[in-house]
Amino acid sequence: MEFAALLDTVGASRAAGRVMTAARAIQNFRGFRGVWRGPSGHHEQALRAALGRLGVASTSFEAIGPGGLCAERDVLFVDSDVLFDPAPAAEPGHLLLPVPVIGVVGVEAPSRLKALSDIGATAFLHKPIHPATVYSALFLAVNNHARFARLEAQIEEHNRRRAGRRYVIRAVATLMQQSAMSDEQAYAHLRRESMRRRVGIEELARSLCDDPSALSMERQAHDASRNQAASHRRAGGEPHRPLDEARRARGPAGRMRSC
Amino acid sequence: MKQSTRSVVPFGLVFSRTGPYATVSRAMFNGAWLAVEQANAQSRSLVLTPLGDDPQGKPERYAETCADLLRHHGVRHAVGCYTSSSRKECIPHFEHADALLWYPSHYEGFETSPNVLYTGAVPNQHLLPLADYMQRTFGSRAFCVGSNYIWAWENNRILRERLGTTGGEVVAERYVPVGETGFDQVIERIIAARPSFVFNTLIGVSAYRFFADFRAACAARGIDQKREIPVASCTLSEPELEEIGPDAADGHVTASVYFSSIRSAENEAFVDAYARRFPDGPSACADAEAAYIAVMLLARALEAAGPEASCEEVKRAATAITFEAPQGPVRINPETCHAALTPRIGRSTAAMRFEILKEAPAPVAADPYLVWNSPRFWTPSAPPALRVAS
Repeated sequence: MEFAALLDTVGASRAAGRVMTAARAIQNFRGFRGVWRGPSGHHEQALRAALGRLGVASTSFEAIGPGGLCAERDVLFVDSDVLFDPAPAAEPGHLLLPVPVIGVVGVEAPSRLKALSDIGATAFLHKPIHPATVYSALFLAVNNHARFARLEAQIEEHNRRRAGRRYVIRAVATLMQQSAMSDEQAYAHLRRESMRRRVGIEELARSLCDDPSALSMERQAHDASRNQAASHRRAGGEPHRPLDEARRARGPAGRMRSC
Repeated sequence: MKQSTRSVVPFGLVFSRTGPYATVSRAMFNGAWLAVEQANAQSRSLVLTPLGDDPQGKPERYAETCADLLRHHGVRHAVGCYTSSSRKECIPHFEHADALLWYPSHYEGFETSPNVLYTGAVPNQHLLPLADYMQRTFGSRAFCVGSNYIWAWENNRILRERLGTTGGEVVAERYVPVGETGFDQVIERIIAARPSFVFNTLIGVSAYRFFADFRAACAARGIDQKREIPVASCTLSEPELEEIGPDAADGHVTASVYFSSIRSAENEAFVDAYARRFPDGPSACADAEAAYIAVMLLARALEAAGPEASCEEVKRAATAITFEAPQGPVRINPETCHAALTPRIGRSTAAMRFEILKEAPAPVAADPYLVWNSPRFWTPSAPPALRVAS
């Protein structure tokens, strides 16, 4: 089975902490593994038979243990009528489990449903398990879990960038003071540099703020660039008009952009 | 053994003899009826007694009929349904009564009820071979036109996926309500789009009118429809060619596990017996054969398991039987409850029959969830021009 391909949508986004592009839904679950957490008996048997028809292997949670869950291929079926402590299998500080969870509901009591919700169940099966409902549950659980993981990664990324925005403001302000740049010029300069160095603008700004000498070097680089452009113009070449200068040529520099 | 010592087993025959797809459904009824007569003539221990009603193509009438048979007539087995909508309406009643529905129609797959045995084809036995054949033979741009329900939606999705993975595309999808017969706008669109082929998932009267109108519209524009914009289907059968009429019946490509033109002793016996018993038609076809297979398997399974056997025991007995059907050997898989069948590609002739162009060398196991025949990920495609046409 192509686990590498699965990584794209199931578990890697959370692990990598990166924002992912929109992922394609998984529709064929051949090679996945269903992990049953509950008493063995006819419910487990019915589930194993239904999973087999879908090309999905089966095992029990007891057989693999809390550390045996594999984010790339496992789907956990949790019998909500049996107490389950998710902590040993969850990520540190979380109740959420790292794999898609399908709640197997017997008693529809709020406490049981809440427990399933807490561990991140994204689909449900009713007891007794009807084989015709297992594909639907798998489809929803796996794809919703992947979607939540992507959203979580996006939120983490947004939070990280938001936390870095104050450094951007400081770096822009410092460049404006030291190099007589407008706010737009300073921001455009940081942006160009971040792209050139292939780091986020927030990371660049933070590194510049942490090391004032680097800001000074940035200023010198900017001045050198301006001087080079000016001498180019004096030599009669095509006017050098970087984007920020072009903006300035169109009108007065804007005020400090909101960050 | 005399008939008085044989067990009488009532069972349901639930087919619409009126309504929008009555032609096909009557052929299924006939196929089932022929099997009842043959099975009763052959059996030394059972007499199958068919009971039923005409649901008139209305899903809720199917459910009412099945509920009545199961509750009030001692029925534990029924052969019937054509559309998925009708089957879905009936399944809860069979599950509640722990009875068996023998479903004898091709359908779109993605279902396994423990209370249903499926003797019709699923997409890996009809649509996928058809998609590959059409792409190789005519090109890779398909225009889909279908009746607005799950059969068309899901088959079009599978076709889109298949073409998408092999460099082709679905240029547009058009859906019309079941029973719709106005196709002028759809036909204009098809002719304007000039696809490599049209994929037809219309059923009943809608399909017959579409074939006739499309052929006429192409002819009026000097287009050789059979050659330039052929129509491919997974449903088109011999009785439907007769409904389309002689002017537009030929040159259509169909994937099916059965054509009445199959050359084998079993099929010749079936076609002869069917024609003698039902001289007024509808002709023998894939749906009639699937219903025939379902009743023959039911009879043999009941004979093996006993008339009082539980649903599970009858299922077990049914899956142990290899039936030499008109299409070739047929056996139901105990895991999927679907039959292994022999895929074929045929082209309709002016004589309202099919010439067989391709044939699988052996029965192909049903893959109802396309576990072995689809990519892991949903295949994205440019949004097709998708809409209900009227």
